[in-house]
Amino acid sequence: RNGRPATFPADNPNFKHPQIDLADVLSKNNVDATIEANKDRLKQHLPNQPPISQDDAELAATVSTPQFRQAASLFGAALQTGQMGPVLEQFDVNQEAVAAAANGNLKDFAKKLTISETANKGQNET
Amino acid sequence: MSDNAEWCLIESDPGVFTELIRNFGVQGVQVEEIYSLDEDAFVNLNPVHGLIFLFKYRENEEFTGELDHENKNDIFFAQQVISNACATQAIINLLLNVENPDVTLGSELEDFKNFTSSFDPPNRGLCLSNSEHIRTMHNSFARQTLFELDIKNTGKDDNYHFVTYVPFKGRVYELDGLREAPIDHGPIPEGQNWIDIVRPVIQTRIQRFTTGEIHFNLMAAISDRRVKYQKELNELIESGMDTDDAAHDIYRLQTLISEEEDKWDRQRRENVRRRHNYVPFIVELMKCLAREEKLLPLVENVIFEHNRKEVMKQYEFV
Repeated sequence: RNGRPATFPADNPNFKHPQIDLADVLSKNNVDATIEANKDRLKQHLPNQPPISQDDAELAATVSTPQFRQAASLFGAALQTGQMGPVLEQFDVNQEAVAAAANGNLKDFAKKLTISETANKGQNET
Repeated sequence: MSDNAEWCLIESDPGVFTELIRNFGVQGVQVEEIYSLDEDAFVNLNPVHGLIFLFKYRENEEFTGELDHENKNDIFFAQQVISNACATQAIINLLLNVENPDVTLGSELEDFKNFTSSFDPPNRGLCLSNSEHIRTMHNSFARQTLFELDIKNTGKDDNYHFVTYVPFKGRVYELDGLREAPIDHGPIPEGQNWIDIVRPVIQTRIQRFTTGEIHFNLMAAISDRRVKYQKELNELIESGMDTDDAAHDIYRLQTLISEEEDKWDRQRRENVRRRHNYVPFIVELMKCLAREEKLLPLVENVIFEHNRKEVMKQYEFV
């Protein structure tokens, strides 16, 4: 032990992808503006059972609720253990992103999803 | 057949228990979590119909009190025959021993109580686990299983166990589905609240946990406070007193009622969210973030933070 870590973790060839918490990625601060800008896309996926309806108030509250945060953590953990590939296929996620998810690589998944979604965006606008 | 019917794990939460009890058809009960065993913690809760104690189960735990074989069929006590049902089991063992005008069991539980009245504890347990109605209500509170997951948290909850404490015919009983009979904790002296007898029993039990380990929680089934406050309010209004004190009391009771209404609304919302599958929302949100080119930087930030903390940890370690 020479008083410092041998290498920065990510530079170490034996280093595995860190298990990060998807709830931290999807925190209120991080996603509030995006939620505001995509209300209609997102609202339809909210619970719709009294006393909850798919309205602005529920949408704004969602990412701070323990129930959503727990689901996000679980989703992230499943993705990073390579278990989300088949699930994501059901949601029209493109093959490269599904493959990245199947490898348990969240960063690569984010990258591939960005490529396909920004390409879609171009299509939708023309 | 119903032998194989599944009972899901449900969350130990006062809002879940309150709604579950109301869905059984019971009226006049709400559940509150208790954070302290001090006398003061119970002052505003009376009457307490029973307590449910959840703790990390350890095999061969010794117990205080006496197994009461003589009265085991007199008290409603169902033994546990399947594991995940134990929250509902503890709730049913509690409710079916309540004798208080504030509480109405409703036809489903009345029928169940009558039907099993001549049964012994193991057969009551069997009957409970085969009850379609009770199981359906219980399972409606199952945490949403997002997908078939291989995450190592399954089974963890199995190590938790629920027991019930109730006053019954002047004595305090503990109903533990893993014992063969109710445990008698002694008589309730004339004029004393049974809570004062049960507090030290639970205190002793908690003291056996390793210091610093919080592996238990305690819930009280009490009378629905909206009903209680409304009754007090009606009496006050009917008395026709027109004083500052009366006006102040009316205001106080109205505030308390609206606080209880708000709490019930919040608990029902939480319960709806508990049952909801958030996967489609999460996927859609990630797609939206990706389209705005925010997803990758956000992921990278969290990874960076994670790694920074790892490095800090390694330094501290040395």
